[in-house]
Amino acid sequence: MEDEIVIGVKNLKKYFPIDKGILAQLFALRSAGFIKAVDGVNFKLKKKRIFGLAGESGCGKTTIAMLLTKIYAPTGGEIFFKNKEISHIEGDKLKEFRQKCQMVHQDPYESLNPQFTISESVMESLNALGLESKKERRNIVSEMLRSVNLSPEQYWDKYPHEISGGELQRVNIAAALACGPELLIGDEPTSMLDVSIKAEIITLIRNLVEKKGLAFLYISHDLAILSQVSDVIAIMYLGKVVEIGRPRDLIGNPLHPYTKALINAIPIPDPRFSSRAVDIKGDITTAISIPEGCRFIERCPYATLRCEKEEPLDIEGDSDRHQSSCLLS
Amino acid sequence: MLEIRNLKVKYLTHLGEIKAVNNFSFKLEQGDKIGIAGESGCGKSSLIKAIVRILPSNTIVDGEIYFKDKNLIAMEDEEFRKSVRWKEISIIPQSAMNALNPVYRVCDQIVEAIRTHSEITRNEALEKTERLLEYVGINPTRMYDYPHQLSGGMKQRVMIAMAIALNPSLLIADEPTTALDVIVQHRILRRIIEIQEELENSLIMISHDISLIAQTCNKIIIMYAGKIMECGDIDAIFYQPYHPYTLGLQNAFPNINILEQNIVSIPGLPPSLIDLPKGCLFADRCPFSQPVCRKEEVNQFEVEEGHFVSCLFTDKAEEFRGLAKREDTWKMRL
Repeated sequence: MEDEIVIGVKNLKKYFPIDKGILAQLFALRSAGFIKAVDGVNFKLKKKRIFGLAGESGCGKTTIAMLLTKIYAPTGGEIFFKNKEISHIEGDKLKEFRQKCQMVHQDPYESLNPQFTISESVMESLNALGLESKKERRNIVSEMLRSVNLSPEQYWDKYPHEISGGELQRVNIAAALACGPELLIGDEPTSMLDVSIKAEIITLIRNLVEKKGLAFLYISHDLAILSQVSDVIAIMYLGKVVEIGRPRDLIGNPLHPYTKALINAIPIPDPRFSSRAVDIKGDITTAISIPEGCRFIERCPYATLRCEKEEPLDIEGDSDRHQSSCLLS
Repeated sequence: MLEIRNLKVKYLTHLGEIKAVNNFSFKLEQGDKIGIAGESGCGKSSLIKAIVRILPSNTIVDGEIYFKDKNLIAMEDEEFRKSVRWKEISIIPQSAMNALNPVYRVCDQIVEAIRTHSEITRNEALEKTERLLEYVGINPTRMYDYPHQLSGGMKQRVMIAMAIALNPSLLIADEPTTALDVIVQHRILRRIIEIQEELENSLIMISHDISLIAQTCNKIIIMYAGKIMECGDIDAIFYQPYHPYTLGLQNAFPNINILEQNIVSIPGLPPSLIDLPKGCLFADRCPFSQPVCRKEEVNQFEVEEGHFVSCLFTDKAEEFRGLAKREDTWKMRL
């Protein structure tokens, strides 16, 4: 089925307690407060689709990746993997889930063990999960390297320092693919690469998503890239999704003032295009002191009395329909 | 105002000589805003480090850099420090996050910079610091803060305040907004341009992002493996590009205004700077290269006034432009 939902989250929350010094911890009865990194997020990722997640630093993008890969346990809410609730699975079930959910990290230079050859790195996840016999593992590794356009003969015994950043990132993708995942999460997978190589990795991701029927969560701060690669984009602000939609709708007709500002702030590779006004104020507020009402209120040029009092509803994120949490939209 | 002639920068390492900048020549006039674009390792940073003379000791700098008719390379260190650095040429460094000393207050660092390069009292310098911070959009009460108390964008503003403290005639910004969020980036760039226009000094901006240069500068230099591939007015380079590398870069940049655009990468990798190929440095990745491209070093041709291109086939540019738009053109050599 084309529209099969691979992973979905409902009212997902992650609060980090703020640690005070040891004395304060001993004498204070309650914790100092929480950083609400993710605060009520809903979305669904479908098979063969790339879901783009954008926002400024500190908006909770990476926390979402950590929650989906079960590195963090959620404070509240539910995560469904193929219609099964997985937010509290442990042991063998967790191991099984991790086979199905893999990650591609931001920094290709740091994410491979420098003492492992390329083939060892790709084989590592198969070893860890105890999959297949040795001979079969070698076959899988060759196949994976080929699927990311690296010839196994040439790269098998190379070490990470011997190859370029773009090639390293392809090795990372091959390693993530080795145990046959259905969900791939890329946390800024191209932000460290040069432009001339970036496009190549994006094309590779797109082809793999199509060919292997993956769901891909593409986390990036770069809306220009996301607008080209993703099927659906969600914009996050302070732990909440403020707007979601297909690139055509979301970029072409943004509804939330924050999305508008993000789009207008992106430089355009055209000298005759005069840059548009970015009319929002200040910097991203910290996730510790979130204002009442709409959390964007302090920076919003259009805020009204209603925005101060009423908290916007969370976006349902159940379809590709264009939705914004702005009360005025 | 600034003229660079045949500049070469080489780093001596145990692996051999790394030729970071090769025969670089260009002229900058008063009031110019020049953007230097290129991928990592193309020599952008080495070039500006050579201009302000902050290269490490294992480097060989060869060539001439004339600034207001004085050769900077021949100048004594002490003279350079006293009369040029900061007063005439100042630099906004790449990672402002790490450029400030974490154990000194912001005001102390700005005052130190001002007093090292000019003869004024501490109180005068403090007053000046106050005005500078206000000018870049930071509340002067924050000047007694330590760097960790400021956000990334604010630290970058402090670096800008420091760089313009002595009203230099040339301001060099080395990737001034990497690691900043887009909205902050937008504001910082605006401020840099406003300041440049108000003070009427010149600006060199280094960036790997040609979109950013397109929106801020009036001239652009496209660098590759330490050489200028193409340079000229920003409008000409974007609308009448000649060099295949420029054409390739244009395909690789996403434009948020164009949906479902096909971004195409340039196959291959830049050449090793230790062992540079003969002939055109881009030939290995160029879809249009001919045997003649690999024979000897390619000189710059002036295709129209102020527009220089290092390519032997400038006469075929029209044809290249058409072909470069097609994805399969760039697949050929993989």
